[in-house]
Amino acid sequence: MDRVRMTQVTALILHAVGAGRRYGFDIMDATGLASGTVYPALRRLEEARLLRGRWEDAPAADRGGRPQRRLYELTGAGLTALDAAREKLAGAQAFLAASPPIREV
Amino acid sequence: MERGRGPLLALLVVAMAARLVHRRARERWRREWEGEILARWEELETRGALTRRARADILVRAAGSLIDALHYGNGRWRMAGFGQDVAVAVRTLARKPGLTLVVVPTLALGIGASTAMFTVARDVLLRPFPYPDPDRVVAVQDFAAGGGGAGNVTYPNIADLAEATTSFEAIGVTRWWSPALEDEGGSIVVRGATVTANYFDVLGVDAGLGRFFRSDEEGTGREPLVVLAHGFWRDRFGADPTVVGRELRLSGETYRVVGITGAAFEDPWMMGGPGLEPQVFRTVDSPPSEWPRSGRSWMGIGRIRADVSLETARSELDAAFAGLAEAYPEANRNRSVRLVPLRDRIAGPARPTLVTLLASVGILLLIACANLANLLLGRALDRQREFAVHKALGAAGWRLFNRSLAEAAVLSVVGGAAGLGLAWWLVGLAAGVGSRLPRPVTGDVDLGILAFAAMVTVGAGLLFGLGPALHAARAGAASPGRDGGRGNSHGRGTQRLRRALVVGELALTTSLLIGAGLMVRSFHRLGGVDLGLRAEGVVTVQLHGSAWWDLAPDAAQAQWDAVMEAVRAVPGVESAGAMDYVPLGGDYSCDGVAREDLPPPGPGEGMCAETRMVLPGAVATLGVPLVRGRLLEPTDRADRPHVALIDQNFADALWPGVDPLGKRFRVHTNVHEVVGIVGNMLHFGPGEVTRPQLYLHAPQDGWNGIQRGLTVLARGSDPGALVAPIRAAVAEVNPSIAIGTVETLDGYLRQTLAPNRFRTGLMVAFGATALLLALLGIAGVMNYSVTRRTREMGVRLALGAEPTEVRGLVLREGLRMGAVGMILGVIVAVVLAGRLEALLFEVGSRDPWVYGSVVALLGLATATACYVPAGRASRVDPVVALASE
Repeated sequence: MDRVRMTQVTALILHAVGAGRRYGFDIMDATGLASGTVYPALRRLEEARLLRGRWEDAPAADRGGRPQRRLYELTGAGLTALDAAREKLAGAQAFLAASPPIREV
Repeated sequence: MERGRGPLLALLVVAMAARLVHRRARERWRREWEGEILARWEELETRGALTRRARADILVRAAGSLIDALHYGNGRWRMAGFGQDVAVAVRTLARKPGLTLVVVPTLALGIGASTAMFTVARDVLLRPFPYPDPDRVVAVQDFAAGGGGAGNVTYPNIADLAEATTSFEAIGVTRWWSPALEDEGGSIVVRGATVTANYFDVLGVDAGLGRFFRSDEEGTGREPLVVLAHGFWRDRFGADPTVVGRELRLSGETYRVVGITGAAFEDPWMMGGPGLEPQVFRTVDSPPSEWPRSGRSWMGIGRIRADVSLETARSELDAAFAGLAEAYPEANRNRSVRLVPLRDRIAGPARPTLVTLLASVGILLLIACANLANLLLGRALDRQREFAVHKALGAAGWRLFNRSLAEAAVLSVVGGAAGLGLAWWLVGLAAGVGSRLPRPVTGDVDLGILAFAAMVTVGAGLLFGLGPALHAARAGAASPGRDGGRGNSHGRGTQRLRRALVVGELALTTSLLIGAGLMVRSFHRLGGVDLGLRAEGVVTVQLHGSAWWDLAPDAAQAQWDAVMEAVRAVPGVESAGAMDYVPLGGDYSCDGVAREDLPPPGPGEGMCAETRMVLPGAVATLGVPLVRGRLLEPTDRADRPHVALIDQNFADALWPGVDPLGKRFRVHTNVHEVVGIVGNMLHFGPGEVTRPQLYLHAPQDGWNGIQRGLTVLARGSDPGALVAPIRAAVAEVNPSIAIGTVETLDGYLRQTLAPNRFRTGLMVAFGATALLLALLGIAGVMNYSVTRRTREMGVRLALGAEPTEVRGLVLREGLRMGAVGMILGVIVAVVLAGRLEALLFEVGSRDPWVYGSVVALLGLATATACYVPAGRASRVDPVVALASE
């Protein structure tokens, strides 16, 4: 298992999944990220056990006559990582709010 | 993607991307993507939101699957098979750009040059003419028994042959015509052709605008008509359609425009290159019977009937010509007609040059590939240890083979792409005016060219990639020992392969250099030919205009006396004269002559002599030597006995074994007396045929010749500086005389030699490049050899060997390779050089001087290339060498 660097992309994806967007295309809709970004990140997050992937229920797919999609859920570790990321982000926002804008000299 | 058919395109992209995923995981991966795409599609369709934009969005997302596929699994590259090897190769090469920077330009040069040369050769040699059934269009040629010459025909012969045969739909003739077009814009000389009325029917083309000639529109007494070439109409008349029906003044005569050729029309007879094709076509103005039967200045062209084979047409034509030879023995004895497919007639002369250059470029590409193979093998030897480690960790041999081949593939594809770009540029150069090819180069990069480039690229990749790949595959046999497996037998095998490659490179280089050497020597011979005149220091100024044509003989005499006097008065002019056709200028006239004391020949018979109308001073200014007798004098006026200068060929032909001075002969309608014999000059340049030559004094021939055009010749130490004052002097005498081409005789000579210089230059460039590559190859191999044998050298030196002995050891090894290569190369050259003979002038294809020089040069160069590694070997410190073990 590799550790995943927490980047804006990974944080956004974890957040989207946490918010109930469970399919790849839905995550793209929610985050505005491209498929070439989302999918590799999903692979890494699943590999790092921050996300758990499983196949959607067969009847839903059968009704549409299409293959099953894969859906993603946060794991415990994923939830912890998301909280940590949110905390870091809140800190950064507080810093931005407190400091005056930096001007060019 | 279209409604109703589902997201087909998106699924196709995913299916393609799936090929990149490892086989074990492929189905699973693909199912996820297809599920997403189809679910989204279904959802949008249900909502009625399947807009064009939404469909495009799905396709864009599907494209992202390619990136996902590349990343799939473990967050690392997990590609399947060769795709993965390619990815690894790209990364490896990107890490060490040095190799790429050497290999890609070398390959691009090789592939680009061969693709460009192939394109040119295809366009010139293979592309069919843009006529219906082009294979049925043939050139009708007429040769003397000994062969030689351009195969020009006479109009009367062709007219009779057309009458006597049934194999042809039509046979026609064409010849050059250089009229001056006079309009408000002034007077310019245009390129024209005089054709029979059926000329365009023979080609089978239709007019782009208006019409072509009708069969009753040739011969005497008809209204003069012209057809304009499309390009000329576009450039000169702004593609104005009302030009058809308009009248044009051409060399003092009024012609009515009846039609314009189509935009794609290609006249087969281009005077030496694209951009030199005729701009106006007129019909022949007198019947065949009035043209000389011996003056062969026409080009014959025919269209064979669809139900007649070339062979049948040939035998029928032969029989008909035998009849003509009987009827007109004087003109047609010991001659024969030939039917040649038009493409062979037009492109044939360029074939030896193009084939030679194509072969040379191919050899150069082979040398480049050998060199790259060598480079990669050297690198593979250095990476022996890396391969061995891979093997020890369980990599299969084929895996290492694939990976190594993938590097070669990536290099060759990048090189091929760059080469295609280079080829495109080079073809553009070749397509430009002045390339002097007999047919235009279209430069279309079509499927054929792409296929050729792809084939060369793949071939090159295999050529230089296979050896290193095999090496990598077998490398693992060695243990990853501390010397990296250098000393093992496998490494020696690879080094042997490298030697073989270097020997091959040297062999090919030797043969290429011999070819280049032969052509250089031939070019020197050509440049050293005595032209029979002194070209340096002479400037020629062509005069145009019909203003002087209608002058009475006295007025003409007065005008030209004044002009020549004014020209001679120009400071710096040492001597001056004037004539109709300037030597080396390309044009000439062949007029029928016959002895006065024999019964006059029938119309159009008699011997064909290169005839020049001159004003006094021309022969002296050209530097043509007077052998005996006297030159033409200003006193040889119209009212004095008609005189002439001839050359020895003329004398031998008319009065064999007799002193020709004082003899008389007929030309045109007059009888002239020979007053002087001058040297023969090479009117068409070195290496070309010469005919009997004759100089007449223009005033004594009714100023006839002047109507063919008049060119002032002036000799001075700085001919360029004479042009402006000569122009001014002429304008002073008669401002209506227009100035045409201004060129020095040296300039004409350079133009004559230009194609030869061009191909010789290319061959030298190829040879030099080959030499450089071969030397780099041998230096690389020797360097490696010395490194590998450091210990051996150390031991030798420690045991008392002199450094010079060690140096000699290495030099001998290198020279041995060089010698083997050169011997092979000489053998190849001896076998192949015969093919070059058509391009050589007064140099045998086995010229020992050339072979000797090339061997000496290569021997010296090889020794130089080996000298540095040899010096390194002799400086090995025995202690260091032995301690390193």
